[in-house]
Amino acid sequence: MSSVKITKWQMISVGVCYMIGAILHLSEVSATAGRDAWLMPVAGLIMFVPTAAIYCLLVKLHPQKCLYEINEQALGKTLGKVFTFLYMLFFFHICTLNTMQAEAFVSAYLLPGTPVIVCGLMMTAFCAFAIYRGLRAIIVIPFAFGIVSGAYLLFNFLQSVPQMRPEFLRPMLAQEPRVYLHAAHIEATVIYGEIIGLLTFAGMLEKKTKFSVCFIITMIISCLYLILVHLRERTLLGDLTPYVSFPSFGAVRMIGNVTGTLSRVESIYSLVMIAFSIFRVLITLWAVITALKQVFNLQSYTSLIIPAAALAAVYSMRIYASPNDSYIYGLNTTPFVWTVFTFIMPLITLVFAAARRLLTKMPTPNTSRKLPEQGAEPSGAEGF
Amino acid sequence: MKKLLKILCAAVTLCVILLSLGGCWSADEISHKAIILGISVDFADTPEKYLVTAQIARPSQLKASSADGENAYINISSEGVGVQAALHGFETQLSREIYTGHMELIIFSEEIARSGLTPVLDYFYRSSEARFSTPVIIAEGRAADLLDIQADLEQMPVSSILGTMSNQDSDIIMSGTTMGDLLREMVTEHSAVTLALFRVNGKRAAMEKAAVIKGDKMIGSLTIDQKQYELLAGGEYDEGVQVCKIADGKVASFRIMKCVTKHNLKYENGQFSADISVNITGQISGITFGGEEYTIRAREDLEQILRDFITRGINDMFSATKEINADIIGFNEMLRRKYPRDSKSLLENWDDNYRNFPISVSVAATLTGTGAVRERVK
Repeated sequence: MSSVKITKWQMISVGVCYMIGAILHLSEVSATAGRDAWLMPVAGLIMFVPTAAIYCLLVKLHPQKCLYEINEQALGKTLGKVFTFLYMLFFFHICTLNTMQAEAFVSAYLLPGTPVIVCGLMMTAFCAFAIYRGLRAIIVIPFAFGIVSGAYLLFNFLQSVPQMRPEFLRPMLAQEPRVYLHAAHIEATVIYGEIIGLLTFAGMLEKKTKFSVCFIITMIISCLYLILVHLRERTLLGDLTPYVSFPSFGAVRMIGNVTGTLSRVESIYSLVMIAFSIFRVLITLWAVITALKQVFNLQSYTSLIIPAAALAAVYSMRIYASPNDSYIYGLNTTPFVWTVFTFIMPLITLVFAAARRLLTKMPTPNTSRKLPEQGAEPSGAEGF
Repeated sequence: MKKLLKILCAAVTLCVILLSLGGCWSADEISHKAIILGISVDFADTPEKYLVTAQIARPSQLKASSADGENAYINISSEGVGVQAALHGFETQLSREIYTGHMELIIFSEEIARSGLTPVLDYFYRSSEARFSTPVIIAEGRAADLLDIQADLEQMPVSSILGTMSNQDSDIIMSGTTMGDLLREMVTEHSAVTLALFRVNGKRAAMEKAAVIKGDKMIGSLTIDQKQYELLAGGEYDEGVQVCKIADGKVASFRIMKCVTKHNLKYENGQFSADISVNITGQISGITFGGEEYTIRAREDLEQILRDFITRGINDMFSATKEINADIIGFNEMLRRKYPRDSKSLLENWDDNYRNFPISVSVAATLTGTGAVRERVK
């Protein structure tokens, strides 16, 4: 358990900034649901409710514990470590995917011609430094940056309102049901599901603060934000949306008119987007490092920061030949693979945790045998 | 030992910072860029090649252009099998790297527009520098000639053309269709879009028609008057002037202050139809005939003249577009949005069905003023 405590709003800002960082990954949903993509955050959220309930229950059953500590408490040391190791791989994959997307974006639009390795190294170096500075630095970044950037994103949305064409949203809900199911699945597992990273901060939450409250507020704000992003994409780009590599950025590039008075507003927007993406890299890198610390029972994670960050930077260049491959993979395979990490594994953990709780509450005929305290390792836990 | 490590780390960091103060090793300075303001694309004399001409700004001459007779721009041309190849050819003629991030205009020749825009547009919409908000126009004859016109009131031909478009935009004659608009229509089945069609007369250019693009090909053109009625029927008309020519050389002109257009699509007895209602508010601008009876006291008569004139104009415009089979208002999209299931069979053969698609137009005109005088001065 960490000595650093985070408040309710700090936790929410971490969650919301993490979700906004997914903005570069929304093209899968836009391409699948087309003109109804703006409804998918709601459909995805509904589909995500059981998963959210699992996360909240896990934290409720194990207050003041992070995801990896919960794993070990619920599943026992061995299986817990196996789960933690799998989560580490999952977060490492997300970390490198995000780094790759951010690199592709920077070298295509923000600093054209900049070598990808330079972008990757700079991003991961920044994240490594923030993690080295400690949890407080990680929390302060989104809290300060999130408010300013959130206000800018809102302003930027209002700028695009005059050029929006609401008729591009019609006809609503006229596609086949499987289209919505597919899009909602992507939204629930890939966009919302990755918020499982927030559970790595659950152990640092102030005692009086309920994780479920923070989580629900985070999800609602994120859902509203995603709706706005999809609405803008569609009302500005229309049927062009699936053709654009980064639809949300492409939509902002549409803002402008023949006199040029309102054009080139995307410069600041792209900076904000990339900052949020880096924050997403930061959180996932943090999740990787803390998972490794837990797996290897280390006292401090400092020695893991540089190797993990360097590996993420290098692996981000090797993970896919191009971001388009990631996009195709994200359309068909990722939602199913991610379901294992974001739903099935937490569900297994919850079942074990609930069973353990039931066992500890059940009166035993042998009164001489001392029941283990909640959270303590029961004998034979390794057998799980 | 720990202190020594700290000092070492600080020294290394300081060295890295000092080294990077000089700038990036592959710095991309703006002063080393050839900033392209406009690009024209023609077919080259060499078969299967394009002639791309770029207007490049000369920032040093921007203020002093009129004083020393030097232009604030240069035009350079290059041939290539594609736009990208031709642009690459610029690199052999220029001391600077070309930059299209500030490109304000793309011009295609009518010949290219008629043969298909996809091969030439592909480069522009893939480029991370080019912008979807860049206006696209068509040139009658050689597109490169448009970049060589005499820009009397502006420093560069591109600015002059853009000024003409935006100036006309406020006076309703032509709105600028951007690359984004064009692409959006291109991916929408059966839709057509109009682009400004410029003609070069000597050293001057004028916007005389509107090119109708369907799919990615130019299939015909509309007159400026027809373009006005397209804007009126499409609900993109804000304000402007309507000059109603009546028999025997009589002319009544009106200043339109406000225009509201509504589309009502109907599906009755298995038959689709569209009602367009245009509600105009304006004032008398000039009358060349009649006596006292044609003042504000005869408002109803004048409103009738305006109403009939606009109704006839819109109907003529629809006849013209039906002849070339170009649904420039986008009824197919409106039907698809309003009746997604019922309209499926109709839209499958929309190219044929548009010719017989019933469109009724009703115009309401209200004249609210007589200008600076109340009565006609005899």
